[in-house]
Amino acid sequence: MNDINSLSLVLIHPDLFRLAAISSSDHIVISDPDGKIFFANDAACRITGYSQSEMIGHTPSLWGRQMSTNFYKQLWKTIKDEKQPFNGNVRNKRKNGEIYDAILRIAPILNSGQELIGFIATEEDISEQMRIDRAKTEFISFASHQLRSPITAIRWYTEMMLSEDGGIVSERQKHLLNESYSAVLKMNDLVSSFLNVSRIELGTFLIDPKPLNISDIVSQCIAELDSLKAQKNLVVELSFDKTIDTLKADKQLFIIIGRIEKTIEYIKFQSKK
Amino acid sequence: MKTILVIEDDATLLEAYNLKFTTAGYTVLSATTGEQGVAIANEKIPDLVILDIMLPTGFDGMQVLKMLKNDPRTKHMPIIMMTNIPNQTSESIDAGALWYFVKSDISLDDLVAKIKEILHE
Repeated sequence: MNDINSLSLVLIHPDLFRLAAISSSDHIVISDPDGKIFFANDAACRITGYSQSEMIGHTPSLWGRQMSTNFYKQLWKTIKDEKQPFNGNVRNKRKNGEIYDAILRIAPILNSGQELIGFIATEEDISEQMRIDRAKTEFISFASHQLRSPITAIRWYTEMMLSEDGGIVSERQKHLLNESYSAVLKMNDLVSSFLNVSRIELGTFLIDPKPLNISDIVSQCIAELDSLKAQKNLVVELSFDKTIDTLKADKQLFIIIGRIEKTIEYIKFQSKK
Repeated sequence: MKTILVIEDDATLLEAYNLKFTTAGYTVLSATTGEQGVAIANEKIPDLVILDIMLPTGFDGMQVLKMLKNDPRTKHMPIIMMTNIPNQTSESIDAGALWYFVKSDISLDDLVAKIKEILHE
């Protein structure tokens, strides 16, 4: 439908648009250029907890003000000075004090002379989605944590067999045990990655910096990639500047290994071209 | 022969510690709860304590650590904290633990080497 037809429809059926806005399941608020509300639909009342009469004449700060000053400054700059739409996730407060998360979309309303005559804002309450996402992340964190004990048990008992703490082990058996041992170490790295990602999402990730020697970390990473190097027929030469000192960092080796593995995959891809 | 007290609720891991430390020449005392661990530490005065942070019932590892470090009879004991999640590293060191390891990230051979270093062997 083009603009002329859209406009005709509004002129012919003004009630249709008013009713559509009132009935929408998303929160819709229309304000003047200063943000003072002159229309709020039923969903806006349901989500914020304020009645229409409480909202009319006030600004959305009635249920807002939960974000940083900088956030609102940027929002106003976008919609008022630049006359551009604004989209973003916000945290608001219902009349009963409950905090909720929402996707906020604000569009400036411009007349035919491109003058700002108001704003239309919609909010989609995503608190329930956020709660479900958090529950999923918590489950991953819990499952990863629970997996650590059996992984430790497999690792330690395999090590004891390899150390012949339980009796003599043949070379053939040692080879098989070493394969199993490598697999459990990889599984441990994988579980650590899951745990770290879930902790980042939950905001519980702690960085544990310790003095680390860069050349030791790189050597360890390269040593752990022996099988990949053999598969790709690569020779890796290491040389370090003697002035390299230690750095204080968290030993998140998997990040470095991940990057090296991607580099090897890239070499494979390039060689096929 | 030096004595190590292991406080760990997981029976499989407790058995692994037992086997490894016995093979390494230590006498091993075991406890599966914090309360039991504190009682054994007070009675037997071991040379070193291996302490799991996440103990499901009663005192957790952090409480046990603080109790042992606040008691004149046991405060000298070196304590190594073991855990599945490294989320109380600084807290345990501040409370007097000598070392802190994520169980699945350390081999028992490395743990024994660390114990020997701590006990000056």
